[in-house]
Amino acid sequence: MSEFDLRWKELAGKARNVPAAHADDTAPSGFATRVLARRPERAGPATEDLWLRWLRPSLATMAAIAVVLTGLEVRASRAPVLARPCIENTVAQVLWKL
Amino acid sequence: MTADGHDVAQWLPGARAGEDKASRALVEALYPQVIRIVRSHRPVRLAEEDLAQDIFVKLFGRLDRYEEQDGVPFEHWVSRLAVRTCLDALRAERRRPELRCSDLAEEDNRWLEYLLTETAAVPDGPDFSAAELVERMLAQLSAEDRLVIRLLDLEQKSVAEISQLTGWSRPAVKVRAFRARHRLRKVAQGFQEGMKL
Repeated sequence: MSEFDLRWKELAGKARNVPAAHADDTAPSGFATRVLARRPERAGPATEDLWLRWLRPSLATMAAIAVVLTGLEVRASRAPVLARPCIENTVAQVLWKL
Repeated sequence: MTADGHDVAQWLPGARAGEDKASRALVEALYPQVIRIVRSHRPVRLAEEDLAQDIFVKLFGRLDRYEEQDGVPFEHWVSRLAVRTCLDALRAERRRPELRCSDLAEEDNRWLEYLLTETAAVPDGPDFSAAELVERMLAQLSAEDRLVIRLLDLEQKSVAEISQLTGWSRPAVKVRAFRARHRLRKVAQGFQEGMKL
């Protein structure tokens, strides 16, 4: 600690000795009323609260839709491919019979 | 949980729900704690009641954010809010004009000489002249420097307490105090140079 710091501490110590001017610590009349008049209205839930509230159900709904769509896709891929009308064969068979 | 003997906890749920009776009781209970902080740290030109009102309005606006499970007692949370609001007010205040040597009383000059001259003895003058010089010197510092010196040297709070009140880390408090004292020295030298002119 420098010489200045030590001397500053001494000065600050002397300053602390000065008694604070007597002041009443109780709230002045009407203070609480003035504060409550300025008190912010209780706002609705904040945007981030709304996000958090709706995030989980939204994710669950999206996941359910994804599962249903995937199932439909798999089912569609396993289904037998509709046979195309074998035009050539039919023609050949008709010709053969003739 | 008490504020000057009042049990604050009983009014918290009501105040959070917006009940007038509980809110009034909370204001009455916390007022002494808040006004003491305001008196120590308010800008000179701002009335203490106005600043105290600002602190309580902020308090009600943020009451939902306070959670007991954070481990911070409600009174500490209020003190921190009060100190931060005072700091914002101090920042908003314009730096006070440079002091002229003619503004200093003879007693103040003796203390100034004591500060800057290693061989000078402690002046015999009254303590209020020391307090006056301290206030005049602090008025030349930035809001943050003024706050840290006031808390550390005048209110004799520990580094840990200041860290809790301001939200600054402990090393940051120490560094800021070191730099603030360095600036105080410059201020004192500036006063002395003014005297010589």
